[in-house]
Amino acid sequence: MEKAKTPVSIRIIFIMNEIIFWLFNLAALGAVVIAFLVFINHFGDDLQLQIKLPVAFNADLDGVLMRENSSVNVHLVDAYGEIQFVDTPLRIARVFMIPLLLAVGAMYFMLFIFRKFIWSVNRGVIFETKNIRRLRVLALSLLAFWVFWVVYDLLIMVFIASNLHFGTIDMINKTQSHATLLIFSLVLWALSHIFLKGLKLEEETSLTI
Amino acid sequence: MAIIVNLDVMLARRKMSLTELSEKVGLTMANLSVLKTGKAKAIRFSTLDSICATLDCQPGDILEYTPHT
Repeated sequence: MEKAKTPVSIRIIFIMNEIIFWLFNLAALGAVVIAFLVFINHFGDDLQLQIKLPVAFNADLDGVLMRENSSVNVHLVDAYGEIQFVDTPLRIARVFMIPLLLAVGAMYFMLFIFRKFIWSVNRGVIFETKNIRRLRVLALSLLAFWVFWVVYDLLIMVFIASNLHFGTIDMINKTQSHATLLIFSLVLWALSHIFLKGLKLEEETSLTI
Repeated sequence: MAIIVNLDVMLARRKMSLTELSEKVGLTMANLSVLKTGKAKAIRFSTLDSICATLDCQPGDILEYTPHT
């Protein structure tokens, strides 16, 4: 019997996932090494740690939108950015290495599971109990990662963003909800149920004589 | 399942092997084994028609209903 050809979309996802997985492995290795160096105080006072702020800030800047023959005045209302600690104290640097390592670990786990899933789909093995379990684990991991991210943002907002003082900019209580991640995890969860139905149908078809 | 497949009984009555039936009906041995061992979830009318024509019998000779105890 002729083997069914893998759809182009699946092959593209498969190749992209392979590239992302191995690039992420390098990045994760780098993150672990940096975290280790921070913990042993290798950088001393020279560490310039950067963290992303989860809250928007109003820079109170006026600008101009230039078009072909006209210009429109604009005002920067809110923006998201990062702060950099100047000569980061070791205590702060060490604290930030914990969520970094947790996030890297979680992302590695999710990429690993997704890689196994896409490998299986690429081979033409789609409706399988293992795939359903992988999708469910992936959905729950993404959900847990979303909770982790929201809590992390909340902590940054309470302990750092609310205590920041700059001369020309004001912090606004406008946070990001990362709803895309939440929706994506729920979609995967729903997909696992669809796969379960598919598995049952496939079993029934193969046992129909 | 309350439906019992008596294919082996009919084959014995007609003195026919499973391989012979498989060739005459055009079903694979694997599929016929699934049917014979009662693992099948459903049977197509076309399959039943072919088997009945080959074994010269009625569907009731192959399939039997026994109530759950």
